[in-house]
Amino acid sequence: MDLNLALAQLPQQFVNGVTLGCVYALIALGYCMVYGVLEMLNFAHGEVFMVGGYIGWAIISYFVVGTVAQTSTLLILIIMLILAMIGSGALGVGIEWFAYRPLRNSSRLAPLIAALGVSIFLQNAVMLGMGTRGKTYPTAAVIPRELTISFHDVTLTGTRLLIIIVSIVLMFALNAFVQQTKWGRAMRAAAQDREEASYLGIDINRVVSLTFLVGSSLAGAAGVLVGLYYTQVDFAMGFLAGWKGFTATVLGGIGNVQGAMLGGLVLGLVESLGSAFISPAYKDIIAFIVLVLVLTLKPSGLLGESLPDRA
Amino acid sequence: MVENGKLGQPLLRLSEVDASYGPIKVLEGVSLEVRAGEIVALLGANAAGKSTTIKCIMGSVKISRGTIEFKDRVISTQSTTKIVEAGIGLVPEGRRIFTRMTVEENLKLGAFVRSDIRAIEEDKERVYGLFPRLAERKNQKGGTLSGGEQQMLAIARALMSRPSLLCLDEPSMGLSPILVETVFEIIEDIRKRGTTILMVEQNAEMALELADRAYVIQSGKIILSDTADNLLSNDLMRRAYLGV
Amino acid sequence: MQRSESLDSSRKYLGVLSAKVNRFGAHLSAIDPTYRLGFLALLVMAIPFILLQDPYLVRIAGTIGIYVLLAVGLNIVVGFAGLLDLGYVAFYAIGAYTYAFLASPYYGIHLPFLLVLLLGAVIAAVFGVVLGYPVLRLRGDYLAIVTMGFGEIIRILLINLAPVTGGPNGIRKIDSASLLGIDLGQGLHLGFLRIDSVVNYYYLSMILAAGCLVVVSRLNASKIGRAWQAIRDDETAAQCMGIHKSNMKLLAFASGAFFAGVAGVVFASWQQFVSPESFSTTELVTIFCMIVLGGTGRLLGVVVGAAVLVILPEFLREYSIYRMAIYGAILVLIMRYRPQGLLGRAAERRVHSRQAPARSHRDAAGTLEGPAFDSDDKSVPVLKVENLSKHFGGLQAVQGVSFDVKQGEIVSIIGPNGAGKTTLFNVISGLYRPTTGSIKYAGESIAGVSPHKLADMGIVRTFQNLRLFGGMTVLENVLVGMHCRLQSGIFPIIFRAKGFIRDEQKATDKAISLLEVLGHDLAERRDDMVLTLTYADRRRVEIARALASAPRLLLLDEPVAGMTGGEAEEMMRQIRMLRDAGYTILLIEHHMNVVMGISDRIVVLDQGQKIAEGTPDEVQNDERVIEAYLGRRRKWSKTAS
Repeated sequence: MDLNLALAQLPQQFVNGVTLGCVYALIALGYCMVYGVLEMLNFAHGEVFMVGGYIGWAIISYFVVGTVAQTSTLLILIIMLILAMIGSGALGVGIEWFAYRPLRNSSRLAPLIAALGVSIFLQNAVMLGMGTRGKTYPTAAVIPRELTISFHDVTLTGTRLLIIIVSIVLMFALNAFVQQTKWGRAMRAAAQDREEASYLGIDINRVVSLTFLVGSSLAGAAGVLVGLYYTQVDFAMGFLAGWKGFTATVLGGIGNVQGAMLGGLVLGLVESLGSAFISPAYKDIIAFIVLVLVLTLKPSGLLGESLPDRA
Repeated sequence: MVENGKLGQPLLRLSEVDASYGPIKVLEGVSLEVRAGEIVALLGANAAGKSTTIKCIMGSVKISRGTIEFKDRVISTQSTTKIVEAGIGLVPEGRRIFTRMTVEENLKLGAFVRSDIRAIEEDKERVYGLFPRLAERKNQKGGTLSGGEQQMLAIARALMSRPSLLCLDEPSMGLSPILVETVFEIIEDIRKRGTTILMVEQNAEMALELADRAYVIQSGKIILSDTADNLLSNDLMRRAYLGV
Repeated sequence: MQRSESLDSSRKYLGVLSAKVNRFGAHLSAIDPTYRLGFLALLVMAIPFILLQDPYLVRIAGTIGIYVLLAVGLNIVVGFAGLLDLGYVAFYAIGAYTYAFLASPYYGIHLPFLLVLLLGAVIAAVFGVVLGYPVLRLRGDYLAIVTMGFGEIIRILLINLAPVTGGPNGIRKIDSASLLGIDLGQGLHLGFLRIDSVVNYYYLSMILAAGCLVVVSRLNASKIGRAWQAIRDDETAAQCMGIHKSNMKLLAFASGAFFAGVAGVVFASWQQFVSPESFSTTELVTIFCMIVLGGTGRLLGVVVGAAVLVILPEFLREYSIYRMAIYGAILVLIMRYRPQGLLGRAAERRVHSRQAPARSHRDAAGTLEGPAFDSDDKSVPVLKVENLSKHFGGLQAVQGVSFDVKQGEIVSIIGPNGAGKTTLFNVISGLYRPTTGSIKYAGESIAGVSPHKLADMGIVRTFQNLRLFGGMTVLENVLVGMHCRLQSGIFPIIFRAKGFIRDEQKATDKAISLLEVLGHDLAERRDDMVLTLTYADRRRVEIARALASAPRLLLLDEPVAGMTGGEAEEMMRQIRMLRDAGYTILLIEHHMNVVMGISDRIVVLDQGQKIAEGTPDEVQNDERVIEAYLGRRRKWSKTAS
């Protein structure tokens, strides 16, 4: 490994890392919010991300292959994102309602096993319905290749730019929702003290559904972005992405929305730089090493909570 | 605040209520009423069933027998959300404010069931007037407040829903005597402004000085029910608490 | 409406089916065990011939053996210990690859089969400990996802470390198993009888599977199995009964991995080929489905689950692409509609009690043995708490509390709500570390000693909100209490050494006599699941569990909470009886009648501090106590409403 060559790549890898990190952050947010309210890790979250990617593919193919070929890029992208977010959100709500809610009061293990089952079922259902090879995003047809910013050794393709911008917009929107709106406050309250929130008249079931809706829709958006970036979506992509999203959540500090965002970015950077300097084949192991390190050294994560929970 | 109802009408009525936590019967044949404008205290030793009674009223524990009526409507089969919407507020045991959220946010959450934005703002100002210390700490996180301030925040938050009936579960717990006095003054003030009060308390003597009437509960049953004055001079109280 | 009807009827059908199987099992267990086993063994041996040595069919049958090993191993971790290990397949792979490394042309090493069998299993077990150690402290969901990652990592390593592991193409031409000079890969000729190689392997896998079942069922019927289930049901209570939580969890991981390793070796030697493909998530989900479908925590269920999910897919080959989707759906549906699995344990009774039957029946209300400790020096207080404080961040729960408990006393701690009584108890029983101050037990400092060690030393507690082990019977709950007094190690348990059998017998007898002392037909109901008992009876079982190790100091946390007047009075008598038998008792209670009636001395706490101490009379008339409970009057003007 030529050190000079590697160092020269550093700025580019940095940009790649941020791009990747944005995607991880979007996925991580879903885990984080669900854990905050239900104290449960939603194994099927990665699958929701995957479904979003497929929905995005359906939309983009329709526009590129169909007669509406001259539609503006922006419009296509917006429609893709919105529909994928709605679809994934609805899927998430449905999963909670069918598989998790009935098990809310049973043993610790039951919801986890159910989540595992949902995850496997979804993966295979999509494989059966959409084929094993996955689908290709005709990104080049939609995002013109000329839309690139280059400076020094760094190339910011249109796609990368898009990912970063969309992620930032979504994260801002989420933050605003959680901090400023009535239901966002209700979600935070329910995450901190579910019983007390109910004494204020907050309907916990509704809050839980809302949490799944928001978290899953973010994952769906991430699925579209990944599809655009890697031009490929397949039924198995949810597993690894979900796992890394979980790592990002833990890294940032579970239960902490800002933590999920930070964790995603950091993980993306670490993975990009790691795969550049060590080896691309092992990049998935990097996430695992990060997870083990965090859990052993600082389990509360980077922005871990230190205030006492109850007065 | 608002909604007094006719003075003297029972605002809240429990009739022959039984309740269980799993296999344990916690309440047996509990009957009590709170009339509009009153301060009623619910007293008793630990684990006698006081908190459970409040939980039954709030709908978080389902009763197995009997009824609970509020403003002449049966609420014992309704969800907690509906009960809060009907006009019952709770200051829970141990305060339970949201420590990670600011004072302002806690208050906003208190008004969750309401949608009249301007009136909510007015109430917020009024509440800040009642609790100037909270106004000073408007944007501070709940966890940074002292014990007494947190208790005030809990009360203020409960007031934000404009309840007709305010339930307080052990408001004096963990507070110094001076703070307890302050809190009790505030409760009296709240009653003056038109809110009916049901107060669960361990500190029987102080509660009886404040309340109009009181019930004493022991092992899930009501064993004494009288005006506060009568109970203050009744030796039965001491025996109920400390044994024969 | 139609859907719920069909749901109901299928539920009923399942219930009937399960009841029938259970009844069948009961009939079977009525037959003398030796005949039963003999018959079963003959049946198993005959199967290849019944199947006319058809290689395809016999292979399926043999594969069941391998999956029984895998499923039983996973069941130890998930069903018994309650740890959701999603990386389990890695141990299967480790066993298989160990054999591939040590018995193939790849590295040119050709070690004998039995040796590698042992090595593979042990190495897998070591990896089990290696994985288990860092995840010990993790909550259920974290544990699941971290172990899942571990499984993935192993697979990635297997694929990518090509020179070492043969990469995605795997390792071929692995030696077949060779036992006692017979190469299982070749057919056998016994006179005119020709035994196909596939039949050889069938026998190998069946023998190993049978051995596994024997070992695991013996472990299950010992203190180890009970400890696992206790940890699964209530970790905190398990610790306070003397169970070393971390060691037991590691043991579960290691045992599960051990059997996976065995399965891996057999698999590798049979197929004579390994590749990363065989150890994917698909395998994991399949094994999971086996235990969930059959019923975790129950060996028969696991075996049936393994058989079903090996046989069915073979017959439904056309639908193989739907298989994983179906498995996923099975997991969700079973959790939602029948979490105990198809053959789930009937709620009321065990099908057959696995514990040793009682040998002697004492008279009702037998005598109660005293503590197992010599009361040597009566002047040294059993418990001496000095200036004890416990802070939680800014909250001072207990401040500077001091008191003793002398040998043979009953001391009660009382105080209004929030006084710090429960915190004090939790510090004394080892669940919290004191911030400052000291606690001495018979002269020795015990501050910061972990609860399981305290139990061993003779301090046992009960819990205010009753922490019984819901997945076990009355008798088993009491036997868990004896955990620290049972000395047998793993090997005596597995080989049913005389010493072990004797200890179990004595323990069971003692447990039964404890139950008899507490009355109320508890001894008769010893095989009932503990959650079917009434509340008051459950309290009694918890006390029996606490007494099981004959502790010197009993910490009773609100022993009469939730009891009616009559029940409370009876409990009072029984507590006095304990004292008379030599136990020293420290209790928290709110029922003043009880406290005043049985205490020798009372310690009163308020706001974390001790405000009074003395005999019941003294305390009842103490001004400060009265004020603490009833409050102080203030000059207060009441306004008319």
